[in-house]
Amino acid sequence: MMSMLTQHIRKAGIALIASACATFGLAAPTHADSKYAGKKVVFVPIAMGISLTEGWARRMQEHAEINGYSFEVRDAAFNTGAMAELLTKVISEKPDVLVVHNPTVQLLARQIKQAEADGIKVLQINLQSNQPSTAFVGASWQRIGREVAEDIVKECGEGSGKSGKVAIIPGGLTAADSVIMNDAAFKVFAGHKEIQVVSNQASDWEPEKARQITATVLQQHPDLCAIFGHWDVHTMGAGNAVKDAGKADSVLVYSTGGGDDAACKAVEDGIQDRIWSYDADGQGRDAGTMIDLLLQGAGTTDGSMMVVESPLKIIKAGPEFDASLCWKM
Amino acid sequence: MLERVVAVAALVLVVVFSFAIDGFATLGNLRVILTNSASLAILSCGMAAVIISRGLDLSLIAQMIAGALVFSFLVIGGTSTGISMLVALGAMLLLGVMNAWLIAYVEIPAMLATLASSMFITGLFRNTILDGGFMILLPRSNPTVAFLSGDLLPGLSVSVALMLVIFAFTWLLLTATTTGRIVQAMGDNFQAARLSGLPVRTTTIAVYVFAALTALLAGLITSSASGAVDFRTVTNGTLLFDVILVVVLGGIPLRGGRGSVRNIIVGLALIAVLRNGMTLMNFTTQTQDMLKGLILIVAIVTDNYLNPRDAETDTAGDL
Amino acid sequence: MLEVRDLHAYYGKSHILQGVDLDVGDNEIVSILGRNGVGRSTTLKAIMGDPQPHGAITFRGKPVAGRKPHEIAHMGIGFVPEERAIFPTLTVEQNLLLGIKGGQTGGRWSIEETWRLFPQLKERANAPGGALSGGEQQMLTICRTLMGDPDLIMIDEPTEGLAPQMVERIGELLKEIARRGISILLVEQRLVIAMRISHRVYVMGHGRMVFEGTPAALMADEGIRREWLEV
Repeated sequence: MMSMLTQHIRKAGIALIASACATFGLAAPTHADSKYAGKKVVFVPIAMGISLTEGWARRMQEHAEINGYSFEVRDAAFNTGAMAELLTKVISEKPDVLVVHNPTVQLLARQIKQAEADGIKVLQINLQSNQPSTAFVGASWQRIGREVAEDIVKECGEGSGKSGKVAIIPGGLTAADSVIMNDAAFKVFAGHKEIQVVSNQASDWEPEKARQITATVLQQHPDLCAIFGHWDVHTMGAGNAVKDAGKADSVLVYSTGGGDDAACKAVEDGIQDRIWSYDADGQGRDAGTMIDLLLQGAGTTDGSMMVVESPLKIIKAGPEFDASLCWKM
Repeated sequence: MLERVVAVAALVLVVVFSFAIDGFATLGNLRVILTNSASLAILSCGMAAVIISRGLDLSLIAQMIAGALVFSFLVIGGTSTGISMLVALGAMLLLGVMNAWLIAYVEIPAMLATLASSMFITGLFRNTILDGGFMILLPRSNPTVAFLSGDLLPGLSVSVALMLVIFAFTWLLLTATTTGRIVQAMGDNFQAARLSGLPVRTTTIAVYVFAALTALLAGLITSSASGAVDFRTVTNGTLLFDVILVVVLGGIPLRGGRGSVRNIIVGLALIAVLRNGMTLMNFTTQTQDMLKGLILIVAIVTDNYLNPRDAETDTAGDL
Repeated sequence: MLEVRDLHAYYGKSHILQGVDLDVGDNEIVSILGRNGVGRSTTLKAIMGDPQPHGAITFRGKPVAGRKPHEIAHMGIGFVPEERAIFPTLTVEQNLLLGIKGGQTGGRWSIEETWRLFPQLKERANAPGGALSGGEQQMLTICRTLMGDPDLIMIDEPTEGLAPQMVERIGELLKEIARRGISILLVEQRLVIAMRISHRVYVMGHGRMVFEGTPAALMADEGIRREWLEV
């Protein structure tokens, strides 16, 4: 009986100590913790304050908090001129992982190369540079450009009874998304002579500029069949111009974007017709996961860039409309 | 005079574009040109009044977006259109008075004062209302928004109608009121205006408030049409440059003292036709900006050649 | 009508007015004489509020010092500065109309009067102010100030740079103004015209008044004239 009592006391004592340990956070160190201690991640987006980058940052921040590494944002606030300097400064701080959002394919190539040479792992997010780095998480612009172009051919091309005229509205002609999407789309159109790209004018990602361009193009080509805007946000302006011209039923408005609830609302309200969403929320999680892996030392065997392509969700107007395809901030 | 040169240039462009570009010389394209230029025209009226009084309002675009933001934010949040409009008007009044106070009472040069207030306004509204964001989307579901982006009569959009109203109002203000004469006097000979007892300070308040109200109207029109209230319109600076370009090309000297609605219309004609033509010809934004800059330089050089500055009319403290 | 006691004024650190005393009565023409740089213009400007006056200035019993030029003008003091203070791009008529103060009704001087006395101004009614000759611009400024119906008009060097014929006309104008019950405080370089039309004169030296009296008294006082007036 004495031994049973001792056993009880021992069990209780262990339980007490264990709970005390738990209360004071002295949990047994996990395999992951030691990998993350003291690690620093810096995110340099083109600008915060838009749902795309806010959505990414939110998920990446979550991963940082769960795993105990630091996550900072250095906001270039659309000042692409200052981005190169901003990046250089961040590189001098020697973070472990640098997440870069490239405004053009050329602008930050040198800095990315420098960072990798200094041992900083660079994760490019959604817009890639000409310079490859350790990893890339983002949409396949090639796929989006091709799929949208093929859809346009189906809706506007031979046998559709439409004029075949298409207007493309990039954000900036030298941004990765526009460069690659245009390349892919034009390849598709090359095989269909009835498709005619009547305008390819950049709107600087501004809804008002997209609106003015669209109003002007519609005036010149009243039989326009489709508009392909390279970002759902500035395509709002284009969609509004189409509505104002009373052509919402005859012009198909395509775009691509992060797919937040504003996108679903635009489709519901008839401002846009088909949006290829790369689900910025999901991308944020992919990026967070990639950062965790990079901090644990992940890499390819031949040193090539790791690529995580974002799965696409197509938000379509009409009977197939599904609001659950969109995420909320 | 520069105004005549620019008017001729605009005419030449119209002729050239009519032949060179398909679809330029149509009624529909004219409509597009007018609708695309309505808010630029309204802003130019506000800026012109300020410049004629020997002032300058570099915060005009910031006010435009701030005003539209106040209205949009309230309306989206469920506040009634009437109250949202009143609050927006009140905010613009305050901003106009703030600018005028800095310039007329604290006596900071207009260029510096409005440059500072532009940054202050942008930062303030972005931080408080947008939580650091750059823009909000404005849906057409609100009746005022739908009205502003729609047509008054078939063929006459509300924005163009408002532009004509502001033109008429500005013309009356400058030519038929004492305030208008005082505005001109201030630009013409500021010291004399002050010493001869003209109410220079209250007139300063009047012009900057007028500018603020034109900014609000322009902001509401643009946001309703494009579906977004976008602070990048402020930070990328092109619209402010376009407004100054319209005023200067139209023949209103930056040192003030002279100017009328006719000048604004001439300057607007050139810029609007140029913008439309460049878009139809698929020029990139960078090319368009470069051409506009070139035109401004040519205009200034031509103006200097036609109106050589003389010692008597040159005033110290020129912009 | 106007009483100035112990007026001091500074431009930056320069102590220009060092205790000026002067009076202007009803229906009087008073001139301030003296060499260049003694502070005659500054006296008028300080009364008008810029530079800031230190001292006691009363107009019709009410204190003036510390008020803004705009307010002082509304109290009934008109000021015609030395620089041709016309508005060059506005027309002659617009220049005149700007002289009328807000809320003013009637007055001893109207635009018809101006046209009557100066038919050459009437001819150029729609010409820009800048196109007038120097003398005509001076005329214009004085008339514009009169449109505001002041009780006292202060004029700084009205005949500067004008031909003798113009000087005569200005002299006539000033006498006519006084006849209508408006007092005049004049700063004038040309001794002859000042002495001819003034009721009283002051002589200024080193920032304060060194003589006060009638023109006749000044003519008789050769010492004052030699020390403070002759070059």
